[in-house]
Amino acid sequence: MSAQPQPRDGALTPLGLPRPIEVRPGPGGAPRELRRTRRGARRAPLTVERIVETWRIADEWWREPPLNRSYYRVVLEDGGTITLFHDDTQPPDRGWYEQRY
Amino acid sequence: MAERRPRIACLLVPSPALAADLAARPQLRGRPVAVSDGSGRRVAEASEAAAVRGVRPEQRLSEALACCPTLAVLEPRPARVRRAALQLVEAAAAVSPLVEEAAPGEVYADLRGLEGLYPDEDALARALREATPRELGARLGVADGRFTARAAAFAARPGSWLRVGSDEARAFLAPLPTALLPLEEAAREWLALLGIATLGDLAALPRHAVEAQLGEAGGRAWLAARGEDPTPLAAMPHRERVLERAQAEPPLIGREALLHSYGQLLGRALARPVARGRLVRAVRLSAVTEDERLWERRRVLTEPTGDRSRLWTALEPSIEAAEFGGPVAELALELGGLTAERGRQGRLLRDGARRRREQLDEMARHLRLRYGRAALRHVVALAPQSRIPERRYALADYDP
Repeated sequence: MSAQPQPRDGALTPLGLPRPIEVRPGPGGAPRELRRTRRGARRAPLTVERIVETWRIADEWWREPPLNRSYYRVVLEDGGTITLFHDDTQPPDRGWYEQRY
Repeated sequence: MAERRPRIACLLVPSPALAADLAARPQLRGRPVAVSDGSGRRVAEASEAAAVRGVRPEQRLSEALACCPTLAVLEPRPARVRRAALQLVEAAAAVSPLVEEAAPGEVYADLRGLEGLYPDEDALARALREATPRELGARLGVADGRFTARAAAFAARPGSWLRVGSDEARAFLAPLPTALLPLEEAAREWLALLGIATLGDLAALPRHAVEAQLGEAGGRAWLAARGEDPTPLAAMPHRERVLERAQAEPPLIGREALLHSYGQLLGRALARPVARGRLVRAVRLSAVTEDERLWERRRVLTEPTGDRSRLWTALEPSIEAAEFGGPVAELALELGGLTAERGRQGRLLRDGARRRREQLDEMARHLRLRYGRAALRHVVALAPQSRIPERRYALADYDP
């Protein structure tokens, strides 16, 4: 999984590709604090104020590794709302992505 | 069972600048001759007689002259090289409808399906060689794969041909140097570091070992070294064009004379039956000076037009600003991207959406012509109901 790729001639470019994001999880694995990157520079950390919703997607079991995600719709300390997910095939402190629609 | 006929022919002039110069100055044949590069400081190509005396491409001219004091150094003549390269393409196109120009002086022709026209390979090779100007000394290689055909052309003597059958390709390629492979410099260095000097050495390695070091290109090189090159021939698309040329005797010096001549060429091109009533998307201008320098400009129009005065308005500034580098002996004007439309029809009923769509399609075609690839993209639904967001929609080239 990677950031939005540059379009290539003749190739399909998926929309809404997840973007890697730095997340510090709490004891239960839920996101507690996150830090975005803008043009290669790390921005100040933001605390997760509230988790609005959580859900899981387990799919494409035939792939290696299979797709296994825990989604969190969260409200941040600056008032913004974003959707994050953790790739559950990764350790809790790695494999976090911001999902855009 | 009859042996299968080889599929690909390679017409090769290994040093096209030198060959074009020697064709124009046959008195230099057999002598040490070098063609300088664009900067005039280094050797671009050297004749065999010069190579024997230590002259090699990319060498400084001062060093080359120290190695060989009798060396004749010629300036590059791009117009001459372009003309020679076109002659090779035309020779291949005279025999096969599928032709690829991989580089100036390196042309491939697909030979499949020509059995009815040329009953045997000798007849085919003879037709190719007869269509090629003899003075270029082109070599012809015929084989089942593209790389083997090129290697066969390299091995052939100037002006002659060599056929390599599919069953003999591997043995033929084995003693040849790996330098023939289409690999990047780093890959060549890696091969040299490991002492893999010949194609036979490379073919003897396991494919996965080569791919592990050189990636996909390594895999292709390994197949090529075994005579199994899978690279297909990328045939040049048929381009509808209108070309008008004029020779100037005496050569033209004044700007006014050049403007007048190009104006005449434009009028003649637009009057040709194939262009009459149609719109033009691009115009290419070229000029060859008395001493064979080449000047070229391509103008892609913002909107296709068949109107002479609008076309002239677009072309005139390029000619006004041109630096030809000497008196012009030959001019050419080429109309390209001809539309199928035969004029614009006004609409009785307004159909805004359809008209906007047509304008968008026209703009997309125009941008493709200008940039050589699709410049607009649009959203396509792949699996809108998917639970995985990035599987739902994608951007695809908008290519009407």
